[in-house]
Amino acid sequence: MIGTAFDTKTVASARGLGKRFGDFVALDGIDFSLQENKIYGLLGRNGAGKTTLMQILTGQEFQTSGTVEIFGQAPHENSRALTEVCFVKESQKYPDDFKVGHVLATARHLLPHWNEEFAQTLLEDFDLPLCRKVKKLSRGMTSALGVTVGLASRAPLTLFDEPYLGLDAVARHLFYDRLLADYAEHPRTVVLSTHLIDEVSDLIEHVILIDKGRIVLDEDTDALREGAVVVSGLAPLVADFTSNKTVLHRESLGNHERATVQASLSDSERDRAMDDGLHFEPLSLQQLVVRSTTATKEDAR
Amino acid sequence: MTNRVLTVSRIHTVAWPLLVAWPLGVLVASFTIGAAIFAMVGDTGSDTNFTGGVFSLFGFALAFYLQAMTQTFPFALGMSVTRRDYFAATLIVAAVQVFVFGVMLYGLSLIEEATGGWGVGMRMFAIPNYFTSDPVIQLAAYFAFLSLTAAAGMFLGALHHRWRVVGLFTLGVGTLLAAGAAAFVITWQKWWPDIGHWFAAAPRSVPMVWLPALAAAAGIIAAWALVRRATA
Repeated sequence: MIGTAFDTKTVASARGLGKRFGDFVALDGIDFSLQENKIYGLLGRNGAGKTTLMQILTGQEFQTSGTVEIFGQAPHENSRALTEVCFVKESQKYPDDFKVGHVLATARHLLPHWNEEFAQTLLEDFDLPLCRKVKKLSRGMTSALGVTVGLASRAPLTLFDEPYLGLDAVARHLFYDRLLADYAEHPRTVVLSTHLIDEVSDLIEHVILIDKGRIVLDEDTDALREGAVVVSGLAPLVADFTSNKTVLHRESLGNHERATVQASLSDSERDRAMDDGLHFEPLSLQQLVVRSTTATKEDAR
Repeated sequence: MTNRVLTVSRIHTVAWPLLVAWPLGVLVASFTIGAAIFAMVGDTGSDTNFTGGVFSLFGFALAFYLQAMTQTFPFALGMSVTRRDYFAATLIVAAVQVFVFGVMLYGLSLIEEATGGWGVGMRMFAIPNYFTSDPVIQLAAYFAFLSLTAAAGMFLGALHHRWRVVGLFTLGVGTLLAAGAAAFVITWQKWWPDIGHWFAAAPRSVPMVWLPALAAAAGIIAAWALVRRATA
């Protein structure tokens, strides 16, 4: 290994990336970069542009403006860069006559970091029948096949686009567990696009939140959690406490009020407020995302 | 680079039944049925009993390349394969298939001739022999028409993948209009006899080899033009 643990190598980036489909603007001036060996959560509502972004990043879709790079090169029609990538998309098509075994055989041939042993373990975990045609699989089974390919690919840049559709809670947690365990042994860059934010909040290290084709949040999960807090107590006290802070959300019940505040508090500040009778609770990632998307909308009005 | 293309071609061979077993199976079946019928009927009074069973092979080849563009192509993109590598891999598979099937059909046509139509006067494989006795043109004609079938499948499949039914309909209507206009002009100018003479006078290799080969090349170029900017 060249470099030290402090080096952060960029594996993928976008500059001023835009994509329109006719009149519809799917992506608008996207700028970001993905660092090596990190798990990213690509979050956003339906139609926010998550899938389009990942398709452009993996050379499957062409952008209208701006540039993207993976491993320092443009991804489109770039065999060398693309062999380092595995993109598991929710809407992946398989040839009609392909059985599960055919898909795995193809993946084994085409993905250079493929680990067959791991693939076999995952097959057993998910109870996937090798000899069944992919188009006869249930939605959940099809997702499990995609997850198996994505995990066993061990690609330096692995992207999962809503990989859990139709998977039950047990299978989803199996996926999260296997991902974490294998990631610990074989670090790589993983991008997880999902709606189930709470389920993956312990998994993802960095959040990229897009809304209506724009990035509204791009921050480490820890920093995010520290950067916001929910404060509750008697309305006048809360109002006083929040007067000089950015309030993302406010709700009140009688003379009681709860406010989500964008602020990192020092210990003394917090102690003083608690002595005054205020309560603090941490904010879940899901709440934070919901607050951030709704807050930007209110700003825009 | 070349290595990657060969690796990508495995995408077509992992599910080999569609590529090899099905076309051969149907060919064997239609051969058996034809031979059994002609053996049963006995002497039909004609020199040869023609059967179009060999066209089932062409039908399967067409289906294979249609599917290669509408189904396997998006799958390949999902497997981090570039369009260029996938197209090149498909051409390699097509070249091998055209060669193997062409030689096989030619070989069967030789046997057919030597055995007096498999002993029952059946003509299934030696179709080029109707038009020429030149063995080189016979063999090349198999290659040319198999290539044309592959190219047509790739072009139509790519067209459907890029623009779906709208693409196919546009092509259909366009072809109809162009052919209609051509027929109109030819009839109006009384060019039909000239065209007939031209085909009769041209060397047999022109309609049997060069024209289909040229059409195949055009189909492949058009298919690539469509696939270059296609998305999954």
